[in-house]
Amino acid sequence: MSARDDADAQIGDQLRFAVTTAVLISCAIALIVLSQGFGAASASFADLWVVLTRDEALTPAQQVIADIRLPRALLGAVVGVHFAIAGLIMQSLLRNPLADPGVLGVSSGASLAVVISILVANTLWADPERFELVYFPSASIPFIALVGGLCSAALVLWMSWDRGLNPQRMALAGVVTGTIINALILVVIVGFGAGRAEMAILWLAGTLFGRGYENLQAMLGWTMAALFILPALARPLSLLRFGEDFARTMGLPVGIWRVVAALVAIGLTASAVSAAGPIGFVGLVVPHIARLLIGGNMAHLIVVSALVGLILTVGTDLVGRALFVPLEIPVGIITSLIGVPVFLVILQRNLWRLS
Amino acid sequence: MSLHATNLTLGYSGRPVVRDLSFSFDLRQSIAIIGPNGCGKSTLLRGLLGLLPPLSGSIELDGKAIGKWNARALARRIAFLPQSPVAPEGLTVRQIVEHGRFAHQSLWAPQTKEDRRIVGEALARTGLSHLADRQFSTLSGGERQRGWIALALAQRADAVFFDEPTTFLDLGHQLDIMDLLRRLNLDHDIGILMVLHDVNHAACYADRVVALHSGRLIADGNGPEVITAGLMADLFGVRTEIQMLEAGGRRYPHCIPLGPENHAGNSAERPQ
Repeated sequence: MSARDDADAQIGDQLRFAVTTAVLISCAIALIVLSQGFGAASASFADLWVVLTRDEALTPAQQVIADIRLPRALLGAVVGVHFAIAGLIMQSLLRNPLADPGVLGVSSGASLAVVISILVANTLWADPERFELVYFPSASIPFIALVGGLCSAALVLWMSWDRGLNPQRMALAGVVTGTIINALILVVIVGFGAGRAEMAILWLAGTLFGRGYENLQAMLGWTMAALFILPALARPLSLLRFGEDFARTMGLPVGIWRVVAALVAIGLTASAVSAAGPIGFVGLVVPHIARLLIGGNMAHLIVVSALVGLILTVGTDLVGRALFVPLEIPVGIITSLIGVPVFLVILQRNLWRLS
Repeated sequence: MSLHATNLTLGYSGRPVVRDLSFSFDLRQSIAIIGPNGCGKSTLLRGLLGLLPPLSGSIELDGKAIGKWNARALARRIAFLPQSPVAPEGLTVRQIVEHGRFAHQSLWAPQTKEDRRIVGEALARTGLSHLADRQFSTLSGGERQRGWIALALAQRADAVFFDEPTTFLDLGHQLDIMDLLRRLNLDHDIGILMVLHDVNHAACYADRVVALHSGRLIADGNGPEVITAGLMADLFGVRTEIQMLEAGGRRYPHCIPLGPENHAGNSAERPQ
């Protein structure tokens, strides 16, 4: 092959990435715009335009967009990006295509903390005569979830330590911790919930319902930090896929970068879970879809995973709201409904390729 | 560039696998380590790469303990090809080889022109230029091994260590790879240290052959000095006939196995 053909093939790779990215960005914008029109109250795209461009008194429909739907869509977008990138990091770090952010123990720890707080608050302050739920100020839930998630992630990290972060131990520690904490969650709900479990269960399903700009603001700091680190993390993460010895002899201080990668994944997951609850399958499935779209280049994978995660989360939230208006299905349930078959197809493909 | 071991003992969780080795390797040469399964060849290689801290004794590269080298600086001196490396999914040959540039890149900076030139050169030297943009997973075993060697070359290290570079290859591809390593050593001054299964490859392609048995160094010298019927009996427990062959002005021994030293069914102890 001549030097010219060489250059062409390389350009081909870049072109594929550029086109894929452009298409995904268009889809993402279209979805976010589309999501403004759906829901219990009808609103038109003209209303969205007014909200975005003009600073005047809003009609009720426009108010719904400004206060509820727009922050909800944007939050869904950021949450999707977080879960997708955390999943990509975990699959590369553990060198296991079945790994996802759940292995970090963040989701289960956050869930336990939130469930306990909701039920304790209800037990302490609810008026049993009127059988009424005490709703948490929604601003405090993300904080409680964050603390719970970080605590259980610290526990998993500690259990994974063997003169450095050991990926095999981490996979085991994550699964064990997750199983135990999920059992504890059930114990808490069944044992102490007594008619007050609905709110906890709704949160556990993973939902974007009733979230506002304050949730978005709380996450953006984490997003910014990740955006700063990710360009530098791309190459080390790519090397980690080759295994410890090989990566080290290629010049990577493996121990340090494993910890950095795990911390970035923990930060992204903890902040996303705290805002939206444990949305399943996004972190597991998205990196596979991204690989199918643009191959294995890590820098490209990070960008495309982020976009696919965004589209999947905003899209499934839209579907959940549009299916049975005015009822809505929590986004976490739809991602699981879509995620499971997609995952089975991927699994089947891998088995087929191995044989 | 020299690698110096003094009373080196290596092992896992306190149990020694290789014991009390002292030697000095000139890493511009082509050196082969041979020995039976489980003799500690791969353990020694990991130790020499700084991947396994010594239980006692020391390994020094250019006078500095191997454990004191940072990964990046060491990677510029010594590259390594493990026995069965696994390629991440969905990468082209070129993308795999580009990983070899890591030790020369800064974290936030994109790939440079120089990086691309060196990757192209590594692909050319291993005869892979025409396959550069194929998916790595679609290559044959021999081509894949060349791809891994290209990655090591892109690292621009002074020496490359190989852990059984010809396992899983057919006879033709085995010789093809061994010839490639020889050329890299002679024409491009890249030092080669290889753990080899096939004593004839060691005899034919290495300047110096080191034999390990039960974690101890039992022979060290050039091919004709080391590859002898007596040593083959000690190492592998087989009767052999050694013929001297000649190619390209070099005389080297060739070992023909005749059968187990003790006849079938007799499991008497091997001589130590």
